[in-house]
Amino acid sequence: MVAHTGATGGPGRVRPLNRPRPVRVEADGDGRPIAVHLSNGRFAVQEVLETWRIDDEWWRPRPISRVYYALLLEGGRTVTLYRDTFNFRWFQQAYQSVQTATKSLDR
Amino acid sequence: MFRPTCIACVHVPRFAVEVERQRRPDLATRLVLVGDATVFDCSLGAETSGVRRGMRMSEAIGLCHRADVLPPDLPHYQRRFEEVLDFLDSYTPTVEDGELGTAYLSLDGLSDEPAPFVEELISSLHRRLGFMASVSVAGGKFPARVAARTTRPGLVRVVPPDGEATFLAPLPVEHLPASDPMRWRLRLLGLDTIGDIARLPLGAFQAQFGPEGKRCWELANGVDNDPLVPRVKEESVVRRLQFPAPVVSLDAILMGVERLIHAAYGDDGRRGRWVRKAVVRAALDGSGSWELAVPFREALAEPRDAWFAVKSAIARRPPERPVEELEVELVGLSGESGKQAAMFDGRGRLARQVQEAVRQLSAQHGRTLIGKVVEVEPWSRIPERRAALVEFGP
Repeated sequence: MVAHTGATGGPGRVRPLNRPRPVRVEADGDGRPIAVHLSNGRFAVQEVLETWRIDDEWWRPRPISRVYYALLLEGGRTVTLYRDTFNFRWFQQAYQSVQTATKSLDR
Repeated sequence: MFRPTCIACVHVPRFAVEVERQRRPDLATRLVLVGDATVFDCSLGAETSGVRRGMRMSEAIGLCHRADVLPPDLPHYQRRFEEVLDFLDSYTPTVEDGELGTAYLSLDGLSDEPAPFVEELISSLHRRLGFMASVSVAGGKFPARVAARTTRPGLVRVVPPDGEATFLAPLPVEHLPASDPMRWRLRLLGLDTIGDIARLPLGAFQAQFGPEGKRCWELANGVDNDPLVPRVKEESVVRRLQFPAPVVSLDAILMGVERLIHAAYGDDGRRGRWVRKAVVRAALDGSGSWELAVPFREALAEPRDAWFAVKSAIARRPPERPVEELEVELVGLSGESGKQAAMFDGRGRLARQVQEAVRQLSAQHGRTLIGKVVEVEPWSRIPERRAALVEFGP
């Protein structure tokens, strides 16, 4: 009988990139962001550049439902945030459109 | 007490149901039926309602309409049973795997009474793997099997030496390994218990039932010379990969399998040997698993050759549900075949230099510090699903 190598390791867990980071946001009565607290201070929102919504994985116990905001902050900085519509928490996350992201495949 | 042969039978009743209950604790107090068109296994409560293995599922649901019906996950059951067998290997070097949930152990050479040894085995198996087994000790596999199946889980039954026929005599003939036509004829003849058969002369019984009858007559009289055949555990290399979220796309699954094949080929346990077969397994979203064995036409030394064969096989039969975890096992490790392995791996000089630098860093720090960005689902609308960092491998 040949001994088992016992080798069960492996590349381990795949670590996802661009994971959302919690961020403190002040919102108005309609839930739209009016100021964002980043690591270097509070920044008022000058303009909401774009808003879009993602609903996905509705078949799972914890579906994904997010409202994204691309914001222009005071000082000219732009950030992308989203509000999780299940727990109403805010997260910061860089976002590329699917078209832009998949262009890298063609290269 | 001297016993020329001493065999223990370890039996975990309703093994598939027990495995499902370990996976889903909410089923612990519920009636469970496992099967597709027919019942593969059922819980004790369902059995009490009249459900039997092999019964049509529609009939079983009619008898037990409140039961949870689960599709059979045979690869998972087999894997859990392998864990039981590995555990038993630590008690005795001679372990034979019977049907799912049943194993035979040789206790030859055990100097003490077997009962305390076996009791310790039962409690240890329960502690380690959560299975409650019934165990019996007898002079042959057949009486040991029957004794284990007629004993409550957690208990031991020792059939005394030369007491096999006495033990079997009052039991129904259904325990004998007889074909359906033979059982039907036994019923017609009014032979209900094993003892009824044992009392008949061998010649007359064999004249009626042929070689099958002779075998049953011998078993009924406690004669079982069927030897214990130890299982042969094949050496293998296993690599696993866990996805952060269930992966739906075939491309992402293939990416994971490709990395695992390269990682498994790079494993020190392979020791440069060639590989005859790869087995790809996946834990599916929710519960259930998927398994695909890919035997190679010849032993392969290069991961890219193995990957080519595995990729084609997966494309023909992909997992039917999202994948949470992947596993690749390389089996049939052997010496080289007649095919010459490539002297150079075909990569550029720069790639080899990077690989060597990563190897040196890993050796210095005891772990791999370098990751590699791979595209997982670049078309996903969810940003964190698009790319991932994996350990830099060969």
